[in-house]
Amino acid sequence: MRPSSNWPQAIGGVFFIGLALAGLWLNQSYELGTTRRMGPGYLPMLVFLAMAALGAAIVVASLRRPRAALEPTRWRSPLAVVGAMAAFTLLIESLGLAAAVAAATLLVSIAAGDFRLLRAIALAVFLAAFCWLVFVNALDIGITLFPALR
Amino acid sequence: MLDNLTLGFSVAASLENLGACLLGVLLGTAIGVLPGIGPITTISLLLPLTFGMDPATGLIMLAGIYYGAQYGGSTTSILMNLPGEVSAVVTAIDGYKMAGKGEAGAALAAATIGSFVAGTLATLLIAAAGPALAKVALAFGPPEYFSLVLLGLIVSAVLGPGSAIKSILMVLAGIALSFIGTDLQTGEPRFTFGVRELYDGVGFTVMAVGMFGIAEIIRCMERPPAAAPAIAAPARLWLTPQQWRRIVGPVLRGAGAGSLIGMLPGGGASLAALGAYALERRAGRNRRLLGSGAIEGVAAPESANNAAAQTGFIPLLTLGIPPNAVMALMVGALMIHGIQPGPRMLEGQPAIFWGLIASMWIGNVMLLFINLPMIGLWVRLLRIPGTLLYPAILVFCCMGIYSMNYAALDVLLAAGFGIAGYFLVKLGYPPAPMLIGFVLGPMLEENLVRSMLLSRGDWAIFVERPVSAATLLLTVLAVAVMALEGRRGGRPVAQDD
Repeated sequence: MRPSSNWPQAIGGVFFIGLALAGLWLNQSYELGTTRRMGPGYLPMLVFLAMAALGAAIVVASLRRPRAALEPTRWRSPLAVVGAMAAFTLLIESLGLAAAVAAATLLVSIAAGDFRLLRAIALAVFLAAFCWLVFVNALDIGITLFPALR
Repeated sequence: MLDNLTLGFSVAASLENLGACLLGVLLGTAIGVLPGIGPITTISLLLPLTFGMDPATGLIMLAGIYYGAQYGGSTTSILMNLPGEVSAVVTAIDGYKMAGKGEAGAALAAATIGSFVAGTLATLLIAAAGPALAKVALAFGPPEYFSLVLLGLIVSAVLGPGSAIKSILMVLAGIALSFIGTDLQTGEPRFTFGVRELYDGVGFTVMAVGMFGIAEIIRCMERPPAAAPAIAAPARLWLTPQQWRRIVGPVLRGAGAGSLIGMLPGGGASLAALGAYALERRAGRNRRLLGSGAIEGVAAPESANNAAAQTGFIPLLTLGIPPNAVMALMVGALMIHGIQPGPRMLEGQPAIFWGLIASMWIGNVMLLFINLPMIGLWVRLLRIPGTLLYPAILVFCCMGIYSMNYAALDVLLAAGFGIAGYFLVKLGYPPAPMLIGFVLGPMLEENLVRSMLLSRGDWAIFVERPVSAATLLLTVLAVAVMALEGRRGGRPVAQDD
């Protein structure tokens, strides 16, 4: 890419072109039908073609525009949030609500800044109790607080 | 109309529905005050809970969250120049300056009273215009609907914040996501990658909570933690006779502009507030004072955003086409009860339609009392530091998603949407058009397929039918106007509606 190009713009365009190509490739397995009797692949084809065209337009426009800086990403926060949700996913069915809530709370607390261990633990206990009251006690959904109490 | 309103009030005044309304407006005010969580996230999280409720009760609560958030959003704008919602951003311009002059009480009173008057007018407008529009819409066939959906999709993208091309790309991405699942026409699974969980399609809540809630938490955590500000609630929360006279015009103009913008595709509360402020700057008697702490600059946008939060229901309930992302969520709330929003709802489900409308007025009365005397309590919510708030919101999001289907994988899918939403907003792609595309995608496809069957494969059917042709012309005009005016970068990408 030329130094004057606007790479964040181009990345967005390339992302959508890629999405459209993947969609068109997958769409090959569905029947297009005719204009009179449209098959399940007809509208997807139109949508992905339009997506590819607009994505290309964005890339072309990015080559002309001056370079614009992207806000810096502090990787800690996206990573912590995804990590917390992954931990929740893994723990909710194996170790129960208390462990899942506590793990998610601690991971996000660490990344949210101004971390104090005791306060985070207190928050985790409070949230686990609150979720148990709302979701298990009041709404009666089938999750256990601790599997041992099942 | 009187009979209908009587029916409406009899539905809305039941103990259960009054409770739902109160719960909705209380929650709405709270999330309106709190930055980092907006009506879209809250409504999509509570959507699964409404399954166990009567459909009218569920809708009344969800609507209360939306217009309640408009009241709450103005509080922090005025007191600390910190808009809790995007729709209260313009309010901060004059509101915060008024607070600096010691007139915070008057600003808060003007915002609340303006909201109440505009909300009442919008309720009357829905009651008057709804049935008439529904009658017209009953005559529409597949070609008319196809064109209307296309108008909704394209105009909402063009009018909305951010660049038009990027918004349309997000609409297309939303439509593409709606393809996942079983094809309605043939019953054939599409784009499911053989995963059985995807045969019913991508969960609405999973996507909305991910794109809005999770992405917003990530964004908020990036900002350095601010010290909790100490603010005293203003002592005198009322207006002087002179201030009363000054806000009459702005409130009425704001209510008018807001009602209109609320119905437009891509409109909604934020655009309504911006539009009313711009109108006030051109047409207001005290336009020169705007920007220096004028009460008009608070009354007009606050009236407008509340009116728009309500009139958005007009296209949803009469045409079945949601004009903005919040209304798209309301489609979801009706669909879990097997109710298709649209012109037939008025005949088939009059209790829901009129009950909802009556509840809006009741909710506005409640908000008047919730806001003015209790303002000190709401401000105290802001003392909760982010280090406690963000983990709590994230845990509620996870629990809400998991409790829907007991599918742990849904939580991970929402995390994926959250990351995607976070980076897309960073690159200037707004998330709201995707939600609208996702909801309208199936309608677009169904009506396209049916139209082409009707016309035996002739595309001319869309321009031969007058209503459809006029709708398409409007779409083209809207795009042309924006293209001519355009070359501008567009407004910054906003988070909520």
